Amino acid sequence: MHRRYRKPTGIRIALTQQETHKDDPPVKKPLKLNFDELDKGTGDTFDELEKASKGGSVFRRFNAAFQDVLQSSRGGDRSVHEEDDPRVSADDLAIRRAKSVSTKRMIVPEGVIISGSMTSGSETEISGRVDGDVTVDGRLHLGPTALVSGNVRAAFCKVEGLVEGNVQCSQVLELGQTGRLNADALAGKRVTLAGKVFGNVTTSGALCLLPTARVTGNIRTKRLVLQEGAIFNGECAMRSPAEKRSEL
Amino acid sequence: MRLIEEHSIAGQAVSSPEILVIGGGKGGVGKTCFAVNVAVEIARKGWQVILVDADLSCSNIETVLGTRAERHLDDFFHQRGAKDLQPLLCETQYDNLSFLPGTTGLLDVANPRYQQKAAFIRELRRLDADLIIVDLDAGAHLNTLDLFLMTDTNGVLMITPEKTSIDNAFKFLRAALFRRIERFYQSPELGLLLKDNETLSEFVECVRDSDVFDEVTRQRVCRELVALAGAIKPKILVNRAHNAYEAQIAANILAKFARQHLMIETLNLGFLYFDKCVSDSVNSGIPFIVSRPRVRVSGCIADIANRLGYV
Repeated sequence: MHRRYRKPTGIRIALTQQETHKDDPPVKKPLKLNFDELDKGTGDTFDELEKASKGGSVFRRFNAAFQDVLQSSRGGDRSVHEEDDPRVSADDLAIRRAKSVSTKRMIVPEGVIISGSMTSGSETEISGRVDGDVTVDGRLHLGPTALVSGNVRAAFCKVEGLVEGNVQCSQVLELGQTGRLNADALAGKRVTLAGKVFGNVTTSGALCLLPTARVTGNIRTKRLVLQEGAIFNGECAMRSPAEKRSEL
Repeated sequence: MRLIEEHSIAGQAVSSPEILVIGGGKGGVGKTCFAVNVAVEIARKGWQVILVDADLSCSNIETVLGTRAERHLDDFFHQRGAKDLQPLLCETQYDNLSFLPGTTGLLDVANPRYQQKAAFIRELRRLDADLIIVDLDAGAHLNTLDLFLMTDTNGVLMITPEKTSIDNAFKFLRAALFRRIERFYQSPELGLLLKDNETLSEFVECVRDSDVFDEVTRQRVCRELVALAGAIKPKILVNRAHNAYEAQIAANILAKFARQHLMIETLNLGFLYFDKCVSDSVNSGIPFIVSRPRVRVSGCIADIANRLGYV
């Protein structure tokens, strides 16, 4: 089987930097053989890394081969020399690579602060603080210690922390007992609330207020479940647009 | 001559419908396809929707929707027995959705006079509906720009994650902003200055340094320019994205350029996935939200409809 070897990204950038400074006078290194370093087998150059990945234990070799197949099956044939031109801006590179980017699970642990908006392409768990918007194309879990000061957008969202901006879910929104929303919430399929909401809640599906829920704001929904103990202060509209028009 | 801005303020009666304008500079990015699908989705939820084909040169909503219309917008622009738009509305096979067919593609209609456009916009606002979705044509002609400027916050800039598309969307937005400035002042001196500048930031600097006006007027004009730009808040929608990352990158690049060079803050409406079934649905004349409701891109359309407030 013919396999094309792909250089690891970090190395490629290092090479590019060297190549772009071709005009600089070459720094002459004193010729000295250091056998300790040769034995380690891991250096900065591409050849050394390649040699290191091919040698070693059976597991290591298998792992390298596996990574290789994984890389080459990702689609999107990137040209090796695409970054050689120093005029290429960061935006250009980002948009060239974007198509073949594979999204990974992301965790923002407690104690981490992100100042700015963040986007993730798959499942995301946040227990830290984000001072900006959070956009997730998939499942988002905001832990009890999480704090998001901007808007949140996701497909499925479970909130156990505090969100100060609007929450928009294309599918399901769940608000845990410790969760608190300080602005409007919107979900396409279902909303289950067990925490506090200070804002309007809108859904084109079902809305369920569990016994610990406290909602201060207006509700617009198709189906409503209110369990004993839930507190709701506001107006509730369950009319379809056609009914609303005929009343006017 | 009255300004379009005046119309937009005067025309907003209590019952006037919300207008969503879909533009974006480059052709073939999916404006018509998105307009049809989101219109069908919102209409199926029970809202009264009118789809307007404002593509004055090459209209094709009829094809995407799979219907044929008897009368066209030509009748309105040529005053052939149509003084308002209500009689031109065609029913579709979907409940609550009617559409206003575009022009037949004859030469003279592609370039209506300013009064005709103003009358068209005025009549649009009189239509009885919850939402009017206006599909614009490609390019940055004056017609397209005037129609795009009908609404401040409900203009959708449709792009794909390609440099050409982002570039064209930026140029379209710039042309729209400059058109608004031109119509706001209607001053020949400012018009000349405007032609020499590529960005709003440069133009503001240019006005500040020019000796055409006195100091007080210069300060006032600079303030007004920034306010005019700040009033436009277009929504960016990325079509044909392979993943969320790609969509966000494209939207961020456009947003950055709009902020830096035009002082315009953009909103992010969302993105649509690349899907082969989209072109199949266009060819079959059945919107993919109807024929393929389970594919990812249909979910994106439903999500955007919710986000626009039509739950």
